[in-house]
Amino acid sequence: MAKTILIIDDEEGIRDAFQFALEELDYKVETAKNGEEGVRKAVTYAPDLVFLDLNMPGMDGVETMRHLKEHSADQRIYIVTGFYEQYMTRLEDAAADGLEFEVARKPLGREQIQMVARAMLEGPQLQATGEGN
Amino acid sequence: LNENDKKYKLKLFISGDNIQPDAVLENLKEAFNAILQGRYELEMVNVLHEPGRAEEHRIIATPTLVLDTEDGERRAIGSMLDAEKIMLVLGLNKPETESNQPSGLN
Repeated sequence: MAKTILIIDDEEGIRDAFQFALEELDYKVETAKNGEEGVRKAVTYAPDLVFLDLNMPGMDGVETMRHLKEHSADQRIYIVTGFYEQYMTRLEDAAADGLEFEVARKPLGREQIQMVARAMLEGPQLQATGEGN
Repeated sequence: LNENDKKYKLKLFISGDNIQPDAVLENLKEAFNAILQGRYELEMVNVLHEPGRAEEHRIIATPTLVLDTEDGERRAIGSMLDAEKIMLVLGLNKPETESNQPSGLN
């Protein structure tokens, strides 16, 4: 059975980019445009992996993650964000509270999205030269 | 520099301190010791504390293990708990004899 990935991001273009990239790999993709919808869909679909935008209006990525972890403590989550100190400080607080998550850089290209998802769901991947640029 | 004196530099980029770091480190060190016979330096970088270094190295996601070689660098992304798979991804295969250079790095 295809693994399910949930994309939570308030930007339609970002959701579409993830969806197109991941459906190419035959993952089942669900999307949500805010944290509240994301939590509801996580309860409904029990995704194998969540890509979660940090900066969203209303319930932000950290608060959404707390709800997701309350529902499923082992939920695998990638927080998608720029590597900036002001963002990392918010995530440090979540980590200090014992929440486990990974971080992915924003923006990601199609091949990067695919590689990160495969690395999490299928096992470690070699990052080809140039994929970080 | 004699091959046996060559040191390999590894950087492990992680997010947070609570992701079983001890288990991850022990697994990796055991695998590195078997293959590189201690000829390596492993540095952990918590991107939450040092986002600038993640940006500097153009890290796209955690966890990422960066191996510096003379031919450039290789990067493995994904769970570091399966150290053997990580070694394979990085092209670090166990040498057949102790005096051999790790295959995949020649």
